Amino acid sequence: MKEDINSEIKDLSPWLSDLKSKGDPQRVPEGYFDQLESSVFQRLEQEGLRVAIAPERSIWSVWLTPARLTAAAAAITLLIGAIWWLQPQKQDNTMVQIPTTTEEEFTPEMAEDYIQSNIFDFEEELLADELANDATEDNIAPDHKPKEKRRNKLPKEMDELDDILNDLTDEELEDLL
Amino acid sequence: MALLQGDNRAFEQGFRLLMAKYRERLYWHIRRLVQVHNDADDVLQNTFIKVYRGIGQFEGKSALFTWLYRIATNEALSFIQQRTRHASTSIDEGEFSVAARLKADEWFDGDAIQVKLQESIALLPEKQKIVFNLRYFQEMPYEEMSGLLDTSVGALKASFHHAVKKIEASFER
Repeated sequence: MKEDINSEIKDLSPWLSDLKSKGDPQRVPEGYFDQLESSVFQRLEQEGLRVAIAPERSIWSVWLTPARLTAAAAAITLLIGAIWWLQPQKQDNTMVQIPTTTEEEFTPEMAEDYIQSNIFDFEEELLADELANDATEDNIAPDHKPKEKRRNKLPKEMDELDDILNDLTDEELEDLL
Repeated sequence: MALLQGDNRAFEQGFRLLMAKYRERLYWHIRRLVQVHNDADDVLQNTFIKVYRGIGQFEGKSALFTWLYRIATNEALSFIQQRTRHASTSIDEGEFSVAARLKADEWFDGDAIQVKLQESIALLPEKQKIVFNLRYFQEMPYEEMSGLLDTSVGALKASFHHAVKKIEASFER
């Protein structure tokens, strides 16, 4: 097709055909076509012709309206409250573990050492509970059983226990254990 | 067609695609008529602004490029008419001559013969000017030109023939 056009021009005017073969003297600035789009849109805005386009919004920004955010926060708060309310009461992790041992190994000296080294970890109420449990389980060495009359004196009421524990000397506590 | 529908984002995206596809063809069509790059740039931007505003009126009865081409042609011819009127009322008509404008155009590298060719083309009647440019510079087949200009192939061949002879004659003078 291009050859047809060139031969037609050559037939009509060899001189014009020669001139054409020298090339096109009209040029375009580099990158002109790339920046044309922004030039056109700039003019459209200047002339107030550009249609209003809302900024692109993510699905989150569309969905998370203030009302929905408030509702979600309330639901999460209720859920956390319900879970906390329904879960079984956990045992206090700070409870002092009374070392379990055999009768031969467990001596009063060991008990005293243990109490002295952990005295600040003890809570009086928990200590009293533990002592009371130990008394019922009867896992005290046989040579300490005669102290049972004192152990029976342990009150059931915790406020009374405070007073008793304050009155106990180390020796008495050692005997008790 | 997204351009004809109400979605603004799709409309603008479609318009960008339209510009990307046709900008070079339209530019060169306009540039051959107005000859100088800066003028071609103005006219091309005007063309796209008209297209942007009027795309809703495009009925699809003709090919999209034919519609764009007609807008571009009208814009270019209006520009030339305004320039001619302005030149006729100016004290120094010489600054509006084809030679002066091409000399001032940093994007024209032609020699004296090519400047003379541009002067000769500028003197052609509108229809012959358009046919000559489309055939000589853009190498457009007559069949395609026929659809674009709504003119028979025979009439286009005759127009081109006349245009070539007039240009040759202008060089012989």
